[in-house]
Amino acid sequence: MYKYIARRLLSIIPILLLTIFIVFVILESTPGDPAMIILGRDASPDALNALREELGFNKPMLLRYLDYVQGIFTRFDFGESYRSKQPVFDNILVQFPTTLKLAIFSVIVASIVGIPLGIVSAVRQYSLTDVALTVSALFLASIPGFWLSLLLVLFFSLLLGVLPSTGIDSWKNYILPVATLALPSAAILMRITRAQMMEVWKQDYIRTARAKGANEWRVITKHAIKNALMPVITIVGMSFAGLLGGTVIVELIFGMPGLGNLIISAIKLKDIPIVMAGTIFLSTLFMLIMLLVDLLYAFIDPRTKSQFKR
Amino acid sequence: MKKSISLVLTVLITMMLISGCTSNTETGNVPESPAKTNLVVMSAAKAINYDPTVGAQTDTIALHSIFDSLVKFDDNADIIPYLAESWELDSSGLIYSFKLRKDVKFHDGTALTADDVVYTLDTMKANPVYAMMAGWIKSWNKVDDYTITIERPNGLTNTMNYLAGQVMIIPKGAHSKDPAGFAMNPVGSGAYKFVSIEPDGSTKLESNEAYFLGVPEMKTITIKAPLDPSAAILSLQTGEIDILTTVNGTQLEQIKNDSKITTIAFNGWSQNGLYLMGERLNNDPNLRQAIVYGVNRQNLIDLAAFGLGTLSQDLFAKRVMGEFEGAAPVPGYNLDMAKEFVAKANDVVTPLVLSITPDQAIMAQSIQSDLAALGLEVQIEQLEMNAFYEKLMNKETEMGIMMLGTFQMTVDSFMFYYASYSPFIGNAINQTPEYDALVGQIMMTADGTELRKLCIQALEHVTGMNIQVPLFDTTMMLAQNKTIENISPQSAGTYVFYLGDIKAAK
Repeated sequence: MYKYIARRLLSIIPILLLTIFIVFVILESTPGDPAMIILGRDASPDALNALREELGFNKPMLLRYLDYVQGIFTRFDFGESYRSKQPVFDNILVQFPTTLKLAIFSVIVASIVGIPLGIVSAVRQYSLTDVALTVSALFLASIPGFWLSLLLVLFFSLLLGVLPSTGIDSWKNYILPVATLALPSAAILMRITRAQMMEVWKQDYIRTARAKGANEWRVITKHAIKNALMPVITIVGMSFAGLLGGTVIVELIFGMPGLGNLIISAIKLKDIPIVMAGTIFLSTLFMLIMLLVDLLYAFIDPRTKSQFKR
Repeated sequence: MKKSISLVLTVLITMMLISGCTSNTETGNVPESPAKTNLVVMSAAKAINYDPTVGAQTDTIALHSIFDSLVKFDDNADIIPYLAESWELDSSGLIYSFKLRKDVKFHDGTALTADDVVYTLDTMKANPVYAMMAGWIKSWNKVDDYTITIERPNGLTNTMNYLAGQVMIIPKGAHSKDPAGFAMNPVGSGAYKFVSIEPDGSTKLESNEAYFLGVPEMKTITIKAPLDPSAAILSLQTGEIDILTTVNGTQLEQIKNDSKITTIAFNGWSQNGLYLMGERLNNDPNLRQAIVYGVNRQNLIDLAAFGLGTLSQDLFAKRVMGEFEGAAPVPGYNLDMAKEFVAKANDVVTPLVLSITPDQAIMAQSIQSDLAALGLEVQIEQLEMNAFYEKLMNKETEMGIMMLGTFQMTVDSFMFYYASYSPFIGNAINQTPEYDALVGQIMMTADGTELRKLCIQALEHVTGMNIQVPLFDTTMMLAQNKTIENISPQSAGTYVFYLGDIKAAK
């Protein structure tokens, strides 16, 4: 088990190096001279050259990539923001809690709503409830996030005046953003849970449980859910990891100072150190969450646990 | 079970009806809402730094609230006294002598003197971001504790607008001790004192009780970071923000029937123009002339700017043109003339490429449709802002739409952009050595009368080249809740807000 974890953790390093290289090359090939973006289009050529020298842009790209990687692995130095002149990792640590809160709340709400409704839908297969839930899930999963968020603001903030539309002052500020993120995720979870439950529902051990006199509730909770939830856990984990990097639209619309917001602003201003550090941070988190999901399998499914021992 | 649900519902509905019918007060009088004392403004940029001499791309609304300038804009964007109570221009027309007010104190209690003004200008000059400051301010000198002279480079330069918009006076004592600390804990002389930067990125300010122009009516100010435009307008409608500092045509449509919101419009210094460059256009004056005649600008204003914008026939916006207005007009829309010139033009086999930034799509479509009527096919290429300017500077742009002009620009400073050594427009057109020499003369001439003659020659030259179709002067707009009043209209055009002047609506 520990060997497996160590192997997975070590495998993160080459993936991370490749990620850094890809992001580095992409940022290099995007148009815009950071020196001109910082100093403005009217800046003198001398001032521009001096700044390019200071930022290291006169060095070959490969050399800068190696310098950057060396800085991360030896000094944990991700550089300074071109705009704010603050260490970028400080910026990320300030903005990350908002994104983390949004992702955690959203995945909890999505699971609480999506999984039980998926079970109900499967158990009452082809009933009116099933049809209504399936259609609603399809609808919610298809709605673009920005549109849903604006609809929610229109209804709850403008029309009813019960919820704030911007800021992070209180827990109420999180309701609409979390709803925007959670509803489509809940819809996806519902559909996957329903499909898994329907698969499990046909299995021999379910028929055996019923034949032995177990009531429906016991069959669902004791025998069906445990087996149906395996793929759902992966989806929940992936949703969580995806949400960490995918809250940007919601952060922009609801004025929340999260990581997505930070990275998007940095991309517009070609603040390369922030984009790099943000991407590295998010990809590392994604890989760690995926590792955790795999480990979680072991606790639920003994068959998976046995694979870890090999 | 059903009975219980019915009972609960009946009780709830009764309680709601009772609460709905009950008067607000026992006496039946509706209480007057307390006067508004907290203002929430949505800025166009996020605050990252509060040092006005750093020149960071930061929120300037907070800066103009914390710091004051020597002079300020009035409602019509004309210059009036501020920290300087008066000024004189010497006989050469180049050197201003400013008399400072003696009753101004910074938020830390120190008094404003000429040393602070000198220190501010010195600090800005040392910063490469302000490398172009010399274009507006040539030199400065302290005469005595309350007198300072500032020299402008030539008799046309709009140094006063630059001083009002860009030069915010910082206290020498507080800033020189710890510039980095000052940037996040600023001390100015303005109507508002810095309190904090909040976790959501907004800036909190409180009124300066010792302000030399009197205590501001709004006790606290919250300046919020910008939101997505659709969400921003909804926040204004919900009352969560009081002022939205920039409003576009789409947003205006959304609020035009909202009785709680009012808009303020102001003709700004910028003009949207279509610039004709690239090899095919450079080598074909008839084709350029056809395009100049062929773009229906009024139609474009109605379609792309929701009618907001002033038809322009000069190379620059009316406010920039000033006394030069009409000196070298660009011909207007004339379909017959356009067709005549198309007939004389070389064959254009592949489509002309029109490069734009994302907010110019409707303008581009309008131009595309006008030129299609002449038989000219236009392919629209939408680029991200940085990509647009990189392409322009690499001389790869064939046609481009740009919004150019700010409150400190004057005709003489604009003429540089058309010289062949300018990295901006001049390098992408076939400019003549005569024009380059003319711009050289403009840059070396200080005398106002001589400069005027040279500028007219330069304007006539550029207009004659038919490389620019002036589309329209931009109308800048802001929107505010009717709970407040006294926002100066110029704020919409200059983004320079004097929040200390704002009052609660009567």
